[in-house]
Amino acid sequence: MIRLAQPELPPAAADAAADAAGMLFLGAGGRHFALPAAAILYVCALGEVTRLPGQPPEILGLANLRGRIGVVICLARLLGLEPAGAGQRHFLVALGGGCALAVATVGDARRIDPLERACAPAPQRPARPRVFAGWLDTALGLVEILDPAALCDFDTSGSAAA
Amino acid sequence: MNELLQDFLRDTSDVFDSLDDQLARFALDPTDQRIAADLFRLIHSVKSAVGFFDFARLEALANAGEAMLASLSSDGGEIAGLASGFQEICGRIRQIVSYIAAFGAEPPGGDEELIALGDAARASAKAAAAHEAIAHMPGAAALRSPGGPPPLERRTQTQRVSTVTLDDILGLACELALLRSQLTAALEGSAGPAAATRHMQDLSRVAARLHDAALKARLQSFSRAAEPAGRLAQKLAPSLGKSTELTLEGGGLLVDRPLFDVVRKAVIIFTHNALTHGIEAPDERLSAGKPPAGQLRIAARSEGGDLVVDVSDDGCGFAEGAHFAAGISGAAQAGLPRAGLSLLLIRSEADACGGSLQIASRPGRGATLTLRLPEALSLTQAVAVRAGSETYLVPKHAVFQILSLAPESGASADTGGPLPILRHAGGALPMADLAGLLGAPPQPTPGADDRAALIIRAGALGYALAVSSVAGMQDIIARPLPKLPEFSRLFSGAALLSGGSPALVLNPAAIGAALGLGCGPASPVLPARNRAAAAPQPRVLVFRSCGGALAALPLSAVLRAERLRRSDIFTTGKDRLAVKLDGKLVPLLDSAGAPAQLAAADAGSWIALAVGSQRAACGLLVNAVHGVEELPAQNIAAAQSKEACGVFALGNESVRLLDLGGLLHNAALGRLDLEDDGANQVRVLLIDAEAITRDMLRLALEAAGCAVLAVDGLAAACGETAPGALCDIVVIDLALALADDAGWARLRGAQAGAAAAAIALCAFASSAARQQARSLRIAETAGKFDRPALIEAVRRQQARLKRQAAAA
Repeated sequence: MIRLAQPELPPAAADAAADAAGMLFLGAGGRHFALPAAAILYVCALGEVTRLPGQPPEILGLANLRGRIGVVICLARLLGLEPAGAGQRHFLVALGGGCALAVATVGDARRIDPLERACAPAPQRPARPRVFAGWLDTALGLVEILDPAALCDFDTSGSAAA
Repeated sequence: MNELLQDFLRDTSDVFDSLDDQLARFALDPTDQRIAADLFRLIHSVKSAVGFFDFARLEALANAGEAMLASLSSDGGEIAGLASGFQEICGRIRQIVSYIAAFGAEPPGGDEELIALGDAARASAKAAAAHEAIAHMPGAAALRSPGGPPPLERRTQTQRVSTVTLDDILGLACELALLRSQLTAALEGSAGPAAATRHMQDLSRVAARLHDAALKARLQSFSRAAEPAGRLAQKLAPSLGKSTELTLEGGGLLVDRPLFDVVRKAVIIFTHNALTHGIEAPDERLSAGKPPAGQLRIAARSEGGDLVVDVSDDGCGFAEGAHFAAGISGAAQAGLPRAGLSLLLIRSEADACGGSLQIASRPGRGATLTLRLPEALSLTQAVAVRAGSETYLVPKHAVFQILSLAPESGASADTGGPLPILRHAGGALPMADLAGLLGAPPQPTPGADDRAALIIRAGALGYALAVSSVAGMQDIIARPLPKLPEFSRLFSGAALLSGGSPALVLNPAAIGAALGLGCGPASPVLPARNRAAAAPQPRVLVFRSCGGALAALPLSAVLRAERLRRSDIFTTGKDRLAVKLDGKLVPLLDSAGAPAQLAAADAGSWIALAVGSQRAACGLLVNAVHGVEELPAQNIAAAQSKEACGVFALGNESVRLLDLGGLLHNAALGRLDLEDDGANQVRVLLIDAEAITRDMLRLALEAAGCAVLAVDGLAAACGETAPGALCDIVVIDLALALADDAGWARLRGAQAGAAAAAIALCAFASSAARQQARSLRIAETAGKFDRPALIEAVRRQQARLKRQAAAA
């Protein structure tokens, strides 16, 4: 069974958790998602973000990702969900390729039993066809698995992974 | 192993590093045409590079891989089989490259089975069987044998650095350690705060030199980037039965590491294209009336903060519109329809760096490929400015002047028209409000007195950029922006500020283009207000310059126009011409801003315009006054000359809109010339830690007739030779004087009593800076970028010294 942690999870604990193989559970826009932990560099508290003029709303801006300048994406906005207020986006999940996700909560990271991978691939949504890589059947219901490569893949025609 | 081969192996390894991710995603979704297109470009770049060597296996495999992807995009094919086959081909190429890295040659064996199976996969897509068969092929097994070379490890970028540079860096690091020890001793001992301050100042200076040395270590000469192209020309031209003479210009220009690879690749590809498709065979050239040897010119220059590389030939050129999409027409004629793909690759790399690739062709006479990359991609100095509540960075080389927009400053913003105008000293410049342009949120506590305008020079563009305040100068290492959904040319990169937060680096040329001053497309973030047509346009006086071309100046800046007789024109001691304006002599310039020359044939027909304001003015020698016209709202293009800030059409002729600020700046220098009698040259001691500032201001001061001694700190000014004692005026960086007020007092004491004058330099002459200067008994302050203001200050101090001398 999956227990989702509270948003107050200290970043250090989240860092350690993300190191584990398996999935890291995130909360954004009032929903839960799973992200392959192998794709996560680290998790930290969301700090100062420099606005990027002319970008779509899901691009929060640029942040200092441990000495590298990376793009911060609001996961809730990217998925078309109601985003939390600026003060409620607590965590930054740094992925490879100079990209990071701003999320409201960071939950557990744990290995996933293959039986829990209920029905991959996920149903394809017209607007975001490649962001979801599958589903997990959890105690909380079906949790969508995010595809980290697709999250950070921008084409020039519009939004990420569109 | 020769250098070209090392470069090839390194580049190929880099390509495969970037292929890894794409291949994994391609395997998951082979229907994604975008990934296929990316892969196609990458494999094509490998294929292009392989052509320089005799690596038959690699060439065949790269051809096969390219053909597979081409069939994927053209006929849809059996996609899964193709993806699998392509991956196998890439794996084989990688193994062969590893072998070459270890042994300098291709491994024995062949890849016919793999290529054939790839063909089979293309034809009938026996994907699973092909995959299985490929895994057990003898060639593959040989490559995986225990005695074979290890696979290439993921490489970091490398570059050559001379041992002299490394020794310099090491020496500075040692000096830094020594100074730190001295500082610690001073803080722990009884030497007092003065000694600690002095050590701290030395520490800062050495740290700055270390920083500069480390940055210089990143630089490579352009000639090194062009070397492979030279070797290519030597090897390829004879094999094609052609003869070529290669000319290299700008070989000494230094190129920063992030740009070096792009430049090197571009020069190779441009040269390859010119040799293969542009330059004709000797017989063909002779029949076209050309010399038998084709002329190939590779030239680099630094222009307006951009690195510009031209590769031009005198070959057949190519048809218009055939550049990228369909390949160069010469290639098409030669049955090579994909010759434009390499150019596409370079164009996409230039785009990613915020640069551009332009192609100009003269059918039958040759072609020029021009690569333009922003130099600000690397270490540079930048002016940090606030726009609303946000901080942006403007490359220092693009900032010509900084003006205060405080009500008493004399500069004002005219926002009544469709394009705001900055009016200053009788001149006018198009102006952009940075906060409005970028939609920056307003400042929590706006300070009207802090508002400033940066006068920007970007190539031929000149405009003003209004900002909420100037935060100061910073050394930055600008990085390319990460990949973003919406590409914006307004930013050339991003850099970390001293506080650790990122800030965007503005691209001055793109902002000028967004204002409608350049040739580039307007950015989507430019507010519609600036593009909208609206009411009354500024009026300009159009006249014919002495050279015969039409030029224009804002009518409001023309004080009067009059026909001159020779007796109205004065010749000064330096053969400079001057005219009288309100009882004072002002320099007479031509429309290029240079001192005017009189042609004897034009005797009696001179017309002079007095332009500027009562405070700053000059005479402008013209041929005839054409009339008064309304400045077009939209169609002002970038000028190709430095003295103009734009060009617009009038009938069938183009009219250059002259840069009044530049004219008046030249006039300010000329006025000093007029006043300088040569016998009483003012001696200026210039103290600034930054070499670039010293050089910039020394040139301006020397042009104004001063004898300048530039030193990098107070210690040098107070040293054994004590140059401070010999000068009339000290121009010092305010920060240096504040950091070592004891040293400053010593220098002032060494000067010739109370008569010596001082001027403080600061990034921006704010009221706070003036107060700090006064606390050090420095009466004058001037912005480092405000050269006219500095020269005015020198003139005032010079006049004061003369009065004091006369009184004594």
